[in-house]
Amino acid sequence: MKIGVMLRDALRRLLGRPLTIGYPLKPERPATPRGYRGMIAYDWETCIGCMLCLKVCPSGAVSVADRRKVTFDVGRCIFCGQCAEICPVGAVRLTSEFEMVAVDRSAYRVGPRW
Amino acid sequence: MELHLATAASAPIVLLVSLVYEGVDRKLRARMQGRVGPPLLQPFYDLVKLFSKDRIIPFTAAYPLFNYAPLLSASCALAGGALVFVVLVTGLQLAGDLLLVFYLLSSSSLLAMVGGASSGNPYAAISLSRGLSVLLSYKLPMLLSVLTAAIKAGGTLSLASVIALQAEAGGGIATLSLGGALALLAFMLCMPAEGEVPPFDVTTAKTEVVHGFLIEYGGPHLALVKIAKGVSRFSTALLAASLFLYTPARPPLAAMLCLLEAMCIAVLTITVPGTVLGRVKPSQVVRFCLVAPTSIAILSLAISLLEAGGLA
Repeated sequence: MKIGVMLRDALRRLLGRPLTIGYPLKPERPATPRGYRGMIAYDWETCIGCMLCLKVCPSGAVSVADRRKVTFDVGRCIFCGQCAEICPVGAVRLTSEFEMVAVDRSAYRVGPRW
Repeated sequence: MELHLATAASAPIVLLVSLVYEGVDRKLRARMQGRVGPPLLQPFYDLVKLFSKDRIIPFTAAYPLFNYAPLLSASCALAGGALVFVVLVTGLQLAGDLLLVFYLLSSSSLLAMVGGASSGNPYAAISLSRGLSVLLSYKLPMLLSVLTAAIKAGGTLSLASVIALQAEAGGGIATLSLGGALALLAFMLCMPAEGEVPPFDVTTAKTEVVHGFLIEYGGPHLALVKIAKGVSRFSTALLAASLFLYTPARPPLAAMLCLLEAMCIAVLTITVPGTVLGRVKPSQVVRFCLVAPTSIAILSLAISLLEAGGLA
């Protein structure tokens, strides 16, 4: 009988470990899959200023900063990862950071820090 | 005068326990679905949030009804629940309080529905029409099973004498007699309809009537309707516990036991069906309530009458 099956499943779930994890996340964060495209990390000292990332960015999230460096506006970013792919020196990387919440908008402008 | 004060004083207790039950309900439901679920105090956080929001009243709403019905509904539910609690703790004799509790709890659900339907939203109107037919169909067997308990207690309609009888007999009506057990069964079969949970949640079905009469409510109004619903759910369970499963003990302990039993009844009849069952059609709700619980309740009534006749 279907009610019996549902009851059995519910009881089994009740006694077993839940499939989800609590939020806010505990220190041990869940593993992200390989190749996960999260928050942008920009190594401005390695950057050679070729501006290829600016050319490929489909959402216009990349802008020119002082001294031939770039700034990423993560608020506009669509996490396509094309900037990381085209960068000849590997200065742009998409990390596994997925919790992107901030009170201050400037926290999500990634650029050179002189 | 004392009764008024006691009822007013125990309303916050009933509210507190109902909200704790709601937290337990949400946690258990989540765990049965394999989720971690919200913290136990989530219903309290929700109420704080809702009460701090603005009131929104639609242009099409009949203002006084839409605005005040949630408040009345919540106060009716709280009064009903608090009355059961007061009688449970003090053993106060009050002629006809069973009917009063029944009346208060019914008015609470009725007022919430009417208030929502006065918003002018067509979904709320559909929900009201569904709600009324469901209300009429499950209140009948519920009332019949309450009457069984009243007949057991010698034909009085006061909760205190039903409790006194159970204290004297040394156990709950449901554990001592077949009629009582059947009455409890009929009562519990009606509980999912009272609590508006699956399989009988046709009035507030999200996928059919978009939350029904709740559709235009938000902020403090929604908070009050939520209070009304939570309290009347728990009060009905408390009524069942004190009518059929009262365990004789020293006064504060007996009330605590009753609260615990009410919690268990609510988990069995609201949390579990709400998780494992799917929704049925409105006509099926009415048919079910008017067939299964009603016939069981009539049977229990007949058995109790026979037993009472045998004793006399």
